[in-house]
Amino acid sequence: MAPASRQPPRPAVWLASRLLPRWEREEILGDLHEAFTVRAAQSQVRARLWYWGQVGLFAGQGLVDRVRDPIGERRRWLEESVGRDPIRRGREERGWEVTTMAAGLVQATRRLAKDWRFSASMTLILGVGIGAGLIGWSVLDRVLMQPLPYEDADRLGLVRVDLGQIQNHPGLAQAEVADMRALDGAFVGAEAARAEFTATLERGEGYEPVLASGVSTGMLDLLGVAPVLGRSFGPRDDEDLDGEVILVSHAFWQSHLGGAPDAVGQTLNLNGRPRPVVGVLPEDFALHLGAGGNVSADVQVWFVQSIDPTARNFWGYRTVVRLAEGRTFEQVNEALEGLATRLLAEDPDAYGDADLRFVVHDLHADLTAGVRPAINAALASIVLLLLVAFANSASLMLGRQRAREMDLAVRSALGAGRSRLVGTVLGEGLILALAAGLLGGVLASWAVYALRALDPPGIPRWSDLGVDWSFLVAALGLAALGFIASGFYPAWRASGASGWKLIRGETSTRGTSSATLRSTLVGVQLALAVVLIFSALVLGRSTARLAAVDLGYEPEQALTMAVPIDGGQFDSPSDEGVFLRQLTERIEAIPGVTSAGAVSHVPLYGYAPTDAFSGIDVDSLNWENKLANYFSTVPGYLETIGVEFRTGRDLLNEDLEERRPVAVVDASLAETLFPGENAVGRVFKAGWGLPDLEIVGVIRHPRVMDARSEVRPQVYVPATLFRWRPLYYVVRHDGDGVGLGEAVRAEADAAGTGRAVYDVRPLDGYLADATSALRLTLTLITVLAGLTAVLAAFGLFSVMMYVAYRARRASAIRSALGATRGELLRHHLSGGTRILLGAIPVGLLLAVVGARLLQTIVYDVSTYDAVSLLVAAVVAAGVGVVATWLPAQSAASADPMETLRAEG
Amino acid sequence: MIYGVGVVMGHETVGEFEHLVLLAILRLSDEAYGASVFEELTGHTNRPILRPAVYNSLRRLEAKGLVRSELGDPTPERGGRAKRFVQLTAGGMSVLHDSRRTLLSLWDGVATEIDGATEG
Repeated sequence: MAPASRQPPRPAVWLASRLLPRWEREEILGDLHEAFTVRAAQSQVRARLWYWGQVGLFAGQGLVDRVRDPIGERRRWLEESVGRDPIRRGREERGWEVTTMAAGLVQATRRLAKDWRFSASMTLILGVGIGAGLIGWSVLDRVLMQPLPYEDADRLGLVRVDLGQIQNHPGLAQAEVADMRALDGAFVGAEAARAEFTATLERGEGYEPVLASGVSTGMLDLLGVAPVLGRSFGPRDDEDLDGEVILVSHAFWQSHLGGAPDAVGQTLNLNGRPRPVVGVLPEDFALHLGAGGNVSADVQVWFVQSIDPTARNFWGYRTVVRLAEGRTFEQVNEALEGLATRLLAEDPDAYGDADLRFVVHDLHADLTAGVRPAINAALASIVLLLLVAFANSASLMLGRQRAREMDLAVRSALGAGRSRLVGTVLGEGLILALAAGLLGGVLASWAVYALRALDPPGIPRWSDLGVDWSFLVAALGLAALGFIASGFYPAWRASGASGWKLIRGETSTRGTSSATLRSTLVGVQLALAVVLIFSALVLGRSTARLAAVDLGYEPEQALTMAVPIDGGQFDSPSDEGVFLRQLTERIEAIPGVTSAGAVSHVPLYGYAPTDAFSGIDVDSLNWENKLANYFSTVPGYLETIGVEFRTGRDLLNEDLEERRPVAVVDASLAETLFPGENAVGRVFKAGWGLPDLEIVGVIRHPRVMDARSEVRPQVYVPATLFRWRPLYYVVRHDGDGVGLGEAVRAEADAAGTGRAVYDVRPLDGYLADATSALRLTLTLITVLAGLTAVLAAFGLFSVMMYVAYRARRASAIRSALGATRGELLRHHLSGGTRILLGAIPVGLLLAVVGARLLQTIVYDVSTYDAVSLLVAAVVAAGVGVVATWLPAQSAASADPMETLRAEG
Repeated sequence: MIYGVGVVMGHETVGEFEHLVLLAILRLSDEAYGASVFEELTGHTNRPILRPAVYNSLRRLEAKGLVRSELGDPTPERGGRAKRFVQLTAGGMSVLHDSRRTLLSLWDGVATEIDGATEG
C-alpha cells in the first residue's frame, strides 16, 4: 500500500466513483490510481492536479455517452452479469437513476393526461387544500408573525396600567409618561400618542373633517420612522403647548397638497388656527398601538402632543417605550413595580390608596391579542381542511396505485428497474402536487384580495394582506407536503411491487393493508368533517343568538353623525345649551325625522369615559369605588335610541340650558346604590369632577358598550354639565333615510356650528362592526366545514366504489347462488357503515376537545352544545350514507352474468 | 477496402481510433488493459489522446465482439482495485488481418515515393 500522501485526492476519487457507471468504476479507478502513483513519484502536486483533470474528463465523457446510448450500454452490462440478481444490481446502479427518473416523469405526464378525470380530481382536491392553507399562511404571516414596520420592533412595548377598578387600561397620564422617561436605564425612550379625533380643515368656503392624532415629539424617532419629505417633530416643537406645527400622511399630501415637494412650509387652517406643515410621513406609515389604541392607519394629520410632567388627572395617552439595550420585558416590569410603589407614596391625591401597576407588553403581541382566538380557530379549521385534502388525495392515489399494481408488477418482472417504477409513481405525485400548488396559489391569491376587501374592523394590519415571495415559498412548501402525502407512500409500495406473486395470482398482504389504510384515511376525513361542521354550527348558533339579543335599544332606522361645534362662539354654557336645543329642533323639523338627540359616544362606539361613582356618604371618590360610564347627553337622545324607562323622566331642555345637576342612570347603578328602593330623587357622588347628581330617571340597562353582555352602570348627564365633545347626533327616521345626512349637514351649517359634520353612518353599522370578527370567523369556518364535508364524502364515495368494484365477482356469484338484491345491498353497505360508526364518535370527541378554541368567540352557546353535536353527527352520517349507498346500489343491481362473463 | 475514415469488415465498422486500439491490444498481448493500452497509444502517436476515449473504444469493440475482457485480481498499487484485461477475439484478429492486407496492397509501390518526399 502506498503511503497516504501517495493516494489520489480523496474527494476526486469519491466524485469519480459517483460519476462512473458501476460496471466501469473498478477498472478505471484502478487504472487512474496506477498512473497517479507513477506521476506522484515525480511531483505530488502535479499528480493531484492531473487526477482532478482526469476525473473532469470522465465526467464530461460520461454525460455525452449517456445521452448518446443509454440503453445499449446497460444491456451489455446486464448480459455480462447474468447469474446475479438483475434487480439487485439495478438498485446498486446509482449512476442511472437520473436518466430513468426523467424517463419516468415523461411517462407519468402521459399517464396523467390519459387519465384526466383522476388528474383533475386530484388537482382540485389538493388545490383546494393548498389554497386554504395559503390563505391561512397569509393571515398568519401578515397579522401574527411579521414584525411591525419599525426599527428593532421587538424591543418596543406598550404600557398598560391597572389602577383600582380599572384594569389593563392602555392609557397613561402625561406625568406618568414623564416618569417612564426618567426611569433609570429601563427605556431608551417613552413616547405618547392620543386617540384619534376629527379636526376641521377650512378650505376656501367650506369645512372638511380630517382624521387627526397627536404624538409626543420623540415618537417617530423612537419607532425609527423618518419623514419622506421635510423633518420630524423636534424637541422644541412642544414648547408652545398648543403644538403649532403638523406632519401629514402620505395620502393626505397627495390628495390635499397635490404631492408637491414644496408642501413643507405650507400652512393649513385646522380647527380655526393656522398650522405649518413640517413634514410628510412615509406611504405605509401607521401607528400600530395595542387593543384600545384607537389610532387608525387612516390618520391624515399629526399634531404635537405635549407632555406635562405634572398632569396626573387624565389617563388617555397611549405610551410606547423602547427597551434599553440588554433589558428584558420582565426586568423593566420589575422596575415599573418600584415606580408604582414610589408614585403611590408621593402622590396620594392622584392615586388614593388604590392598587397601581404598570405593565409593559410586547407591542406586537398586544396588538394581536384581541384577534388571536378568532384567528387561531380559523387557522385550526384550515389545518383540518388541509389534512382532509391530503388524506383524500393520498387515498385516491392509493386506489389508483392498487388498480395499477398488476401493470407495475409486469413491468418489474420484465426488468424495469426499481428507480424507473418509483420514478413513474413519484413523477405522478410531483406533477399533480405542482399543478395543485398552482391552482391553490391562484385560488388563494384571489381569495386573499377578496378577504382584504372585506376589511373587518378591529383586526390589525388586515390591509397588509397580499401576495409576495413568501406566499410563493409557502405554496411550494404546501405542494411539497401534498407531494409527500400523495406520492410518497404509493411510490414506496411501487418500489416493492413483488411482480411474480401478483402475476401468479397470489394474494398480496399489502392489498389488505392498503384497503385498511384507505378506510382509515376516509375515517379520519369524516371525523375531521364532524369537527368542522360542529364548529360552524356552534358559531352559527352564536351569531343567531347575538342577532336576536335584546340590546335594550333599537339600532335600526337611525342615522348618526358627529356634529362638532365651535365652542368659541358661546359666552356661557347656557348659551351653548340654547344652541343645542335649537339645533335639535332644526334637525327634528327635517321631513322624515321622528326624533333626534345627541350623545358623546353612540351605542357600540367602542369607548365611553369611565369614572367612579358612590353614595354621598363618602367625602371623595377613589379608585376603589365602582366604575360607571358617563355620557354627555342632549335631551331627546335616550328617547331616540329607544331605551325603556323604569321610573322617572328623561332629561329636559331646561336641564340642559340651566345646567341642572341631574342624571338619568341605568337600573344597575340604581340597584347598587339604592337596593330595593325608588332611586328617583336620590342624590349620588359622580366622577369627572361633576357635582353630586340627582337621579331623575332610571332606565333598563342598554348594551351600548358591549352587545354580548352588560358591562358597567351608565350615567347620562346634560351635555352642558359634562362637556365631552364632539357630540354625535342620533336621528330616528321613517323611510329609508336617503339624503338625511346631507339635510342634517345643511341644518348644522345653517345653525352656525362652524365645524364640519363627519362620521355619518347608520346606528346599526356600529352593531355590525362590533360583531364583525365573529361573523367573519363564522363565514370562514362555514365555508371550510362545507368543503371538508364535500371532500370527506368524495373520499368515502371513491373508496366504496372501489370496494364494490373489487367485490363485483364475489357478489355476482352470491347473486347467481340466489342472494336477493336486499341481501347484496346490506352486504355492500356494511363496509361503509363500519367506517361511519368508527369515525363519527371520534369526530364528536375531537369536536368537543377542539371547541375550546372557540370558547372566547362564541356567544351564549356552550362549546359542548348537544344540539350542534347531534346535528353535526347526523349531517356527517347522512353524507356518509349517501356516499356509501350509491356505489352499493350500483354493485347490487349489476347483472351477475354480465360481470362473470367480463371477468372471464 | 477503405470507406471514409473507417474500415468495413463484414458487418462491423471499425473507426480509425478503434483500429489503433486493436493494434495496441495486439502488441501488448497478455498485458493489455485500459491503462497499458492508453500508454501504448500515447507512445506511438503524436496527437493527444484522452483516456475516456480509450475506455469508450474498448466498450464499443467489446460490444461488436472484436475484443473480450475479464477482471483480474486486485493489486495494492492500484488502490486494491482489479484490472480488466482485454484480448482480441477471432473477429478482432480477422479485422486486423484484413485491414493490414488491404493497406499493404494499396501501399505497394507508393511507399518509397512518400518516404522520399517527406525526407527530401
